[in-house]
Amino acid sequence: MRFVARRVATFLASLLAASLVVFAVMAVLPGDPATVAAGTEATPEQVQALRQEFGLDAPAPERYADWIGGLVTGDLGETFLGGRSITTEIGSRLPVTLPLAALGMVLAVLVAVPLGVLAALGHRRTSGTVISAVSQLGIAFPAFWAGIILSTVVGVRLGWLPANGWVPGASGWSVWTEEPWEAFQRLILPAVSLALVQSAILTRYVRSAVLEVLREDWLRTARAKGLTRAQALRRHGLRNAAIPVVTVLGLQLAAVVVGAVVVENVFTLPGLGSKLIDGINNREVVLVQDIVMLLTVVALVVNLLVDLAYVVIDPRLRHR
Amino acid sequence: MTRLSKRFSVLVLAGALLAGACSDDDEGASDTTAATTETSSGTATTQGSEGQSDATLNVGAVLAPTSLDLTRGSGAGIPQLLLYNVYETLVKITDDGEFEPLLAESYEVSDDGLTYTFTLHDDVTFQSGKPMTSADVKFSFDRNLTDPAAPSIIAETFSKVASVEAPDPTTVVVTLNERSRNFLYNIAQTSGIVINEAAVPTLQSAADGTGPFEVTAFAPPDTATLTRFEGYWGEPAKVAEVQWRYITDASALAAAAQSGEIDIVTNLAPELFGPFADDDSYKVVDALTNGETILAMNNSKAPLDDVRVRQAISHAINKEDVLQAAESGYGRIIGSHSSPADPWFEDLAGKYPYDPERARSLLAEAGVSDLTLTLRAPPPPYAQATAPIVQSQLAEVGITVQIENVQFPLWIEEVFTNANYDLTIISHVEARDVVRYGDAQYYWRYDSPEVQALLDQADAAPTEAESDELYRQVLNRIADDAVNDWLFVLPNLQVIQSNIEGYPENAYSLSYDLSGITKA
Repeated sequence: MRFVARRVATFLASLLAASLVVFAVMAVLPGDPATVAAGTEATPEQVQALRQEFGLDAPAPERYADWIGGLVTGDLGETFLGGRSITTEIGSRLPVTLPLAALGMVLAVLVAVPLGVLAALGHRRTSGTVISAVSQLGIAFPAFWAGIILSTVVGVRLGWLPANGWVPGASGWSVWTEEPWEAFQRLILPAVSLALVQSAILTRYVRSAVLEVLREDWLRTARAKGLTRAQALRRHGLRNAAIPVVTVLGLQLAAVVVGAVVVENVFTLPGLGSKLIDGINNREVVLVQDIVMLLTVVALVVNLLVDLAYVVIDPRLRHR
Repeated sequence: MTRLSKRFSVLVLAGALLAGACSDDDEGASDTTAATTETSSGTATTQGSEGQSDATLNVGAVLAPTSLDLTRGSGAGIPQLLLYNVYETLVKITDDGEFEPLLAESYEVSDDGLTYTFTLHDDVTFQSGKPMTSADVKFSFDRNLTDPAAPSIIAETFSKVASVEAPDPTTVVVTLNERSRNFLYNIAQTSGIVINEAAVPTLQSAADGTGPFEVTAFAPPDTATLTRFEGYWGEPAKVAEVQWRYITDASALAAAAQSGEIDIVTNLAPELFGPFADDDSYKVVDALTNGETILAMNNSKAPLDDVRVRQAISHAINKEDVLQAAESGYGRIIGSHSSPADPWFEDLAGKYPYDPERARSLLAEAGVSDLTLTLRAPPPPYAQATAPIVQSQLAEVGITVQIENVQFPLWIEEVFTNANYDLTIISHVEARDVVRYGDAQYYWRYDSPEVQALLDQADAAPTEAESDELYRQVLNRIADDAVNDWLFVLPNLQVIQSNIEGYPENAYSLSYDLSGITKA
């Protein structure tokens, strides 16, 4: 229990630190949100009036406190351009980005775990070497390059799947209840692009984790007791191998979410990625801060869950 | 004297903001002035074959609107979506650049050019249901006249207006205190749209106009949806719905067109245009815009304040090379601040022919050697492609150019507002924006009382012919002064599925006029 409490405290401290960093970065970024919002046709007086309206005149600590105060009470603020509720803006993007990241991760795991185990089992044979080499290649592929190739070949040339774009006219989570197949189709290629790199990385981790386990004395004891290698692995080995793999999964999930941002751009999906990039270009300071904090929360929560998962997987931690 | 406040005409239309990949194929423009196959060369509102009236049209564009406020918002995306489609003006500018009555069924200008009398249609309603009368026109115009938040382009349009009266529900009388040649032209566009007073508090997020379409969905920066307005006073739109998709990546835009998901690409990067031009299953339109793309020079910063140095730079640039690199040969080379859409256009491209020798001797005359200049290049592809060319060509004449890539917010603050730059590359897409040369505070910091006087006289001239002549004098004068190096007019390349008709062919207007489009 003390372990859990300590982890939660670390989580909150990390959140605070992250918020300070993102606020500082956005504050020093050159370019003024009021100038962008006022547009190039505005007079200096109009820009100044906007700066006051947006509260950009206030000193940095005050702006930080306002923002954090809003976050804690659930008020994410409004965009400078168009005065749109940021909560709605972010919320409308989640039906695209969350399923995409999840699908990408699931595909990656489904491919990486069996391949990694096979690579470890066959590490002195050709099968192991081949899988190793292929995974090496996979790491070298940038996700967006894979995306462009898939979009052009599978989408445009072959026409098997939509080349890019989201379900026309769709907005919100309702698309998943009304046109789930349409929506799913449009996530396949992007998820595969994401999964290509992720599974390559994961495969190598699974392989090395399983190899480690195969070398352990207690595994040799299990073999000596009469279990085959596969049985020994399944009964004793995988749980031990799971620990480093779960760690990496946690880190990779954060990478998948970031990768989703890039892939969304290639496939012109109206997700969190395009909103973030658009926000940066328009100096939508509050929007960018909010999205980055959201991604940070996701990453920290995942890592927290990973740490808590250790307690479940590894009984040795339970009695600390 | 008209007070010309800063107006920024960097609404980079079309191909401007596409992050297109470089291409090494040289599909020149030579044989691809491929006009469309079926529409006549007249107005684009010519009726094509009857389309399905319940069709959904899918349009792909690059720059998304930042809000729905056409009266205050900036950026090319807003008028492209809303002008003439959702909001209307008293008089419209057609695809050929002619005036056509719109909300005003007729209008009259007094002989002294000071009184404009408009007679409105009596059956116009806003999309919210409220009937439109002259009171709404008066409100809209008064708002532009008196609102301190009005952008300078609008403030200028109304700078000569003395009063706006609405003597009866279908009559509007606008009185100027001085003749203005460009007044009607300006109120035929964004400055003159008619809005509903009750809608003002929500202008940014909702549109209530009198046009043939209403906005039913808006999700920046990705999509917008226009639906046919069934209560429209005029001829109803030919399609039931228009889905706009905003795609900044040129390859993705091309891919969407190739897979049939987009019916019209309103502007495609030139390097991707070739395959479509050769493919019979698409119609392609190769047109010009009002965008004068320039190598701008800071006239107030030594040694660029010496006209010989600016002239030297003009002679050192080979515009053919620039056009090939930036636009794959599409577009048109110019020699002053005017596009062929301007009634006073004069081809001055020959004023500073490519002549490195002359450039070097001019620099020597000005006593300049070992000159280093900074070129601040904003994101648009034409700027990114042109910058290295400028750098290498100026190096030939002994000028070292350091390229600094800057994002737009920085560009606006540093270059445009503070004139903290030596050279920059940008395209000015506003129509008839030669008037900018009368503003000594504009980011070129060019102060010529002679040009200022000429511009005032040109707008107040008693006949169009005299006005044209005066504007041409301005064009020549600023070219002689080499205020900037004018490179080319931005091209506008459209790719259209073959079952679509009635689309606009020219790109001189900021509006993408959907009212006549049919989809079979």
